[in-house]
Amino acid sequence: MKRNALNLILLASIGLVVSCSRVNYQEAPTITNTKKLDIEFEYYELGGSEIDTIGYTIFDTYAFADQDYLLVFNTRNRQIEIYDLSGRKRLFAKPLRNFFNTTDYGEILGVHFYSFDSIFVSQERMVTILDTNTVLRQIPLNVPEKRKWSSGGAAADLMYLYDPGTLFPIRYDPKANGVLLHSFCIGCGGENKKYFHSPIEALVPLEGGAIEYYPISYSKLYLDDYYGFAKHIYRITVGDTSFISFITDPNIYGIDRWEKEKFVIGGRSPSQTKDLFPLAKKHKSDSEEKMKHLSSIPLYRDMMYDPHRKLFYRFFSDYQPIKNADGTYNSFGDKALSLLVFNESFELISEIDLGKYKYISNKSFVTKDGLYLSASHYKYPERSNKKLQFDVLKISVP
Amino acid sequence: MKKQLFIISALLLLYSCKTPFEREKEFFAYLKEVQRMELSEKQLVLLMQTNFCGACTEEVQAALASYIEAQNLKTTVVLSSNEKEVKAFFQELPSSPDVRIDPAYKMEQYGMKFTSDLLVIFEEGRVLSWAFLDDKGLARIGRKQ
Repeated sequence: MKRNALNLILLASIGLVVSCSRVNYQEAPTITNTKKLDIEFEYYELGGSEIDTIGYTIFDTYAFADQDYLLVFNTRNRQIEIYDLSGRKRLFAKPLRNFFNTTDYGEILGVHFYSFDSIFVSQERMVTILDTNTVLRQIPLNVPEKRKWSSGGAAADLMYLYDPGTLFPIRYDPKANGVLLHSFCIGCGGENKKYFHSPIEALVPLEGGAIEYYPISYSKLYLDDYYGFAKHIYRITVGDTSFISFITDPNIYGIDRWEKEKFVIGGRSPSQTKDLFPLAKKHKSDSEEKMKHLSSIPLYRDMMYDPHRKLFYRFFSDYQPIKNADGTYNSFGDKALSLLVFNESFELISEIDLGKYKYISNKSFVTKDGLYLSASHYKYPERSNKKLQFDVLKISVP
Repeated sequence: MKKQLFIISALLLLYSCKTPFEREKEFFAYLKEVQRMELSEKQLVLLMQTNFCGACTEEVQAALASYIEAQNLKTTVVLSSNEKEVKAFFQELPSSPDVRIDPAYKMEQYGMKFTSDLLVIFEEGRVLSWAFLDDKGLARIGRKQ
């Protein structure tokens, strides 16, 4: 009798452990490389009165003939502005409304500076391709009859294409002659498993035809647990491959869009002090609880590829408590930032501490000169509203 | 507009009856230590999260203004950042509320950074009613009408 009771307790304990562990998700091992990096920071600023940091959220860079250019949709004056980064001067400025009636298609969400002859502007219902003179082409988005991702799908399977700016920016795929955009299931409800099963990247062909939804969806972490606001997806493209990272997940996911081959790479930060923890689903309508959770958990943030040094960068913010021992509180803006540096085989070479209150990862970018770390954190005492400020991180791998 | 005003009143009534304000201690510490306010008199304090801008829409601001004017209480509006237009809007109300700016992100440090604006009526250092002026609260009350 006593033995039976013990067995029952044992079974119940095993059941509890199994029910509390992640059944779908598995973390990939992170491979490290012991190479030492040489790093150097160099201050860089651009502009003066005509540039306003606050207006600098929608941008892209372009390299041509050994020159680097920055294209900004200045949200203050709603102009397309192009800057020569080496010459530190503005080359071009023109209100977007002088190209086309922007109010017809929703807010400006993102830009892609593919070349001076192909500038992509994305809105909710249109992708517009410009050169510096005129509109070259417009591709309607979210046309109702073209939105199903599975044949015979229900109304709940209706997909929506969206450009969440620098997190998952619009990109032109020359091989497929189409634009790559973030997709999500608008009819599934943002908290349901079906939402997390639906494809997250799609190709809209420039010449018309069916939208191609790639067979890649959310990290399986989201099938096991609820993470509130922490659903951000970061995507970069390198050739035919899309590299995708989720804000909660140390793993980095890849898909060869041509071959449809998928892979998973370990990308954990060595400085992560606490494991990710979910949020109780009862808080799903409580934005305060969701914000507290997002401000506290470890976050894997923007990724970038440096083709000049054959390196991948990934920003990371470690766990922080909501309340400190001295009784003061932390908010999202108190999170520290570090930079993980991987080689092309995704071996982790180094993690560089970037501290607190200075850099913004989603306003940073890569050129041949290095990684331009945007020094525009809202708590940075020397933050300027009149010029763009960066520390250019110059990395060399001996 | 009348609907918004009703919603704000209903929200305050709801929270005053049922839900204790979790960060009451921190709220009073912030007013006392950072804003150097005297807390004994019955008064209304509005903490505006201007960097999130929950109440930046003209409609909500107008409803808040009507609510403030209708209360006939000493009123202080604290903006989390120096948004000139929002500041001017409240300063120009007939009751001339005391409009202040949070210095050096102290609201965050004291746990007063929220995703929604916060409206509190208190007396003698005790909260009488409070409400987050968020969409969820507004929608919930809206459905009950």
